[in-house]
Amino acid sequence: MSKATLGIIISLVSVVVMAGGVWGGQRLIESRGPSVWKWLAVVLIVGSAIAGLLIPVPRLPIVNESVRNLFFHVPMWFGMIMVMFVSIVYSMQYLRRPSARLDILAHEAAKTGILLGVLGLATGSLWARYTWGAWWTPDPRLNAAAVALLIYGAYLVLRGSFRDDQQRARVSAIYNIFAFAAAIPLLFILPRISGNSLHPGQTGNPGFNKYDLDSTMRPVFYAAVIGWILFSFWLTQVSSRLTLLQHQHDDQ
Amino acid sequence: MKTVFAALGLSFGLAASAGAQPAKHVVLISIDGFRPDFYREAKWPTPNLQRMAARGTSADGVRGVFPSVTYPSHTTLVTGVAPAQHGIYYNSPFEPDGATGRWYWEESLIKTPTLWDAVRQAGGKTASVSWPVTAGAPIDYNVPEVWSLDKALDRLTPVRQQTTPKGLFEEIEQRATGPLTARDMSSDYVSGDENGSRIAAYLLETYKPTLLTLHVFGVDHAEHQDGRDGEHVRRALATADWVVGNLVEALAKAGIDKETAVIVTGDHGFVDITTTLAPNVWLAQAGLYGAEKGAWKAQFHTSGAAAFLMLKDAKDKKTLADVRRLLAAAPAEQQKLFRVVERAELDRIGADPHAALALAPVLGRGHERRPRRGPHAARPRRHPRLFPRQRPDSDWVYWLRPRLCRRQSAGPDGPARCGSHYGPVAGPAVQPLPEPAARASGAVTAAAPPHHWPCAARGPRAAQLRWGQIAVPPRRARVVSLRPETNLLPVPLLREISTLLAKDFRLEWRQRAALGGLLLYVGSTVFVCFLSFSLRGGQPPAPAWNALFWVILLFAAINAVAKGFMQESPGQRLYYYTLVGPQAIILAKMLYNALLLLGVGLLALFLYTIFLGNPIQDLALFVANLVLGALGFATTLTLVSGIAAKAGGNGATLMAVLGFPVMIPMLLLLIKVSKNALDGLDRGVSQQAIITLLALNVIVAAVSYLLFPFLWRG
Repeated sequence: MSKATLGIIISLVSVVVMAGGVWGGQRLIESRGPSVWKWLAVVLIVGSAIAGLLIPVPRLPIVNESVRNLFFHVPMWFGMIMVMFVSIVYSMQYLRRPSARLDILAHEAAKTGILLGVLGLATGSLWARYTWGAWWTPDPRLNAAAVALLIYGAYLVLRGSFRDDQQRARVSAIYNIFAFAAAIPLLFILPRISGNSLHPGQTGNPGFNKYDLDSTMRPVFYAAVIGWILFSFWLTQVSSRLTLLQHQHDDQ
Repeated sequence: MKTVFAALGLSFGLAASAGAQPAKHVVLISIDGFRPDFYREAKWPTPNLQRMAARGTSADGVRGVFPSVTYPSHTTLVTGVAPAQHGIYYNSPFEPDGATGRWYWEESLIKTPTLWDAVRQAGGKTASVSWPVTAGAPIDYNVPEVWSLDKALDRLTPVRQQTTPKGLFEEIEQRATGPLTARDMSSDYVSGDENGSRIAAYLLETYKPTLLTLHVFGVDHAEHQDGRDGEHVRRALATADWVVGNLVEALAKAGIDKETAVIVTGDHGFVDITTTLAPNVWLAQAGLYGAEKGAWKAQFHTSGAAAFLMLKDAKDKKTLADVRRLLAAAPAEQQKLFRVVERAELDRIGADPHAALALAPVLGRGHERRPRRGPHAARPRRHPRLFPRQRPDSDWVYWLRPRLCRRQSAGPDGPARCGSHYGPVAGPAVQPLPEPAARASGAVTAAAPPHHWPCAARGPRAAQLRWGQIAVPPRRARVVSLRPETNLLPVPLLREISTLLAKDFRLEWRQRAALGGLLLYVGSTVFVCFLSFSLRGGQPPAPAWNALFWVILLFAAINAVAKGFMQESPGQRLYYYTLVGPQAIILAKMLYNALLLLGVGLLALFLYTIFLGNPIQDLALFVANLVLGALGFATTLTLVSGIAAKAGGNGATLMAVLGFPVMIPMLLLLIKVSKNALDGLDRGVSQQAIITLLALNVIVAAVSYLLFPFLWRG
């Protein structure tokens, strides 16, 4: 199988996984009552944290023990991307059929994404300090992450500048979709074409596949990814439920 | 019964002759069934209106709402939004269990703020006489148009009871009109309008309200009876003309004529009919609609000449499909009578959101013309811009009636309506109407499908007022002929875009100071850079030259594009909204901004070359990149400026906050390519970045195109 075919297959699979994840995420966020998945999130995150600190890891030059950050830093970004996608889909649904509920869900999902993004940035910065020797480097991938956070910061500022609820909901949904469509895809493409990134996963750099080759790391990493994604949905559910209740309380 | 909304907007600023100062008072008179020929053609008995049209501002038509009947139209006049938003979808609401005969009387049914609300908020006083949908309205001096379902009650008693404040009606009788009976306020006699005018004149002189609204109903009633022309029509029209003259005189007597804008408008026109169509007969024949209460799956709610399909269960796709089949199965000569207006189009024109689809009457070309005869021989010639009714030789030859039923009079202006909702559902679906005299009592309306509204101008007069900018209308009316959005063919869209583009250029030229400011901004920035670098002696290094150039352009772009949406008032935006589709607006705006930014970019390059030298080695690539940059900045910032304009307040700051993150990737690519051009690298090196830029422009433009209608709708 040629490399190109493999690339296409991988892209297709990831699109399907993404769509499924968003669909499932929405179901989970809107679900009610105690659920197995929350216990699963707790078990996976705590388990992956403990295991991540204890299991033997391959000794790589420069990276050394810091490779364990893989179990924290990368899953946080996965969680962020997933919950951002959920936010976009809620915004689209809002435009199709406006309701305060969908607006709250989109907003809270975006806020969860911002939280995970900040965490991801912090863990990444820490990692960079000990491997590259600097807290921040002008690396395309890092810049892309910063831009993504700026966009969502702008989203929050925009929301703050409306007095009318419906107006705020509609316009911020529009900006959410627009900013996503305009900037996010490029953030994936830009590091690839600029071609001089230190960040793993870029051209000329080994992706984490290399570390992953170690079969002891792989299950822990996957568990952490699923755990953090579930955690992001859980957080969104709790915060949106709280906001909904506040709205109901205000209405009375 | 009413139809083509605002057969005309004839507006007359008394103060206009004194100059363009804002008016302190507004008198809004709607003449039900008004048509432009009434003031365009000297043969009509309208000396006041013709004089006003000659001295003030007038138009040959305005865009209406669907259905174009009195209550939705009047509500649109005072809210500036379509029926879908204000909630007055028809004259009488759809009542699934049978029409009781009630109309949309109560102001509380209007879901959006009205002119009266706006005036009250601004601290002004309002008055209203016989305006539709005003029962219980927050109007300071209100004589509403309302009647009772109780047949024992005469038509005046409910009006007397619901006039506010208490005692006002008695005060009017005592000091203005003398004691009034139901006959004195009836549309059967021209004195009904005369008394309405006396009441309005009394309110104007005594209370000097900021806004007075008056509904003149006699002409409509006469046209329902006689057709487009006739002895009764002329008498009613002469009275309507006197009504307007009387109010203008009252303004002079009150001493406020110099500071008052008088607006005379209509709510719909008239067209003659020869055939009627009863689509519910089809439904009954197919078993979808029964005579018993609740025994129906689908039924048409008729309003004017249009019929709206109501499904008992809105999600009942099967019944909808059945109805579509029935409509498609109708004989060809019946199919020619109507056009199916789909939900998407209903959404676009702001009609009742509950209807599954609607039927609109279609021009009856190819039908036999009836010989002119009798009192109808002297009919006005067909006015191509309007949808007048009641002419046997007209293009508009059909109306839709709910079903065969006994007729009974209802409504303030008494067209025959179907009173017994569950009357027998039988008989042929299509019936020729007998002779003109009998036809005259038919509720004949021409609900024009939107793409048949050929002309629009001066439409949102009411809308502009709604935003509190009570201004005397401009002296010169420009009639812009634009076809509203309907089909996917790009040609009307292109025409709209070119018109809007011309408008933007003209606006820019009129506001030369703003353009000059922008150019000066670019010039002075470049000069400051020059001075800063000359301190260090000489030219900046190429990377700095490049980065500075793009930073200057970025900020100039924010300033230039920010003007676009933000300098237009909400009223103006609403005005464009009534004329063209949102897609045309966003495309035209993007195109305009791209051209503007390209001009600014080239100017910046020129100045830059003069002051800071020109190290570019591949000029062609650099300019091509500049074009891409102008396009990219324009596509991105146009929607962002629309968003920022919605937020109001600190628009320019918000624009930078919203726009910069989105533009950073684009800016990085642009800087990279222009650096390549500066260094004269092989073009192949820049190829990938250029393709990405192009793709990005396309994506951003497409997303803006899709999202803008949502933004615009608010």
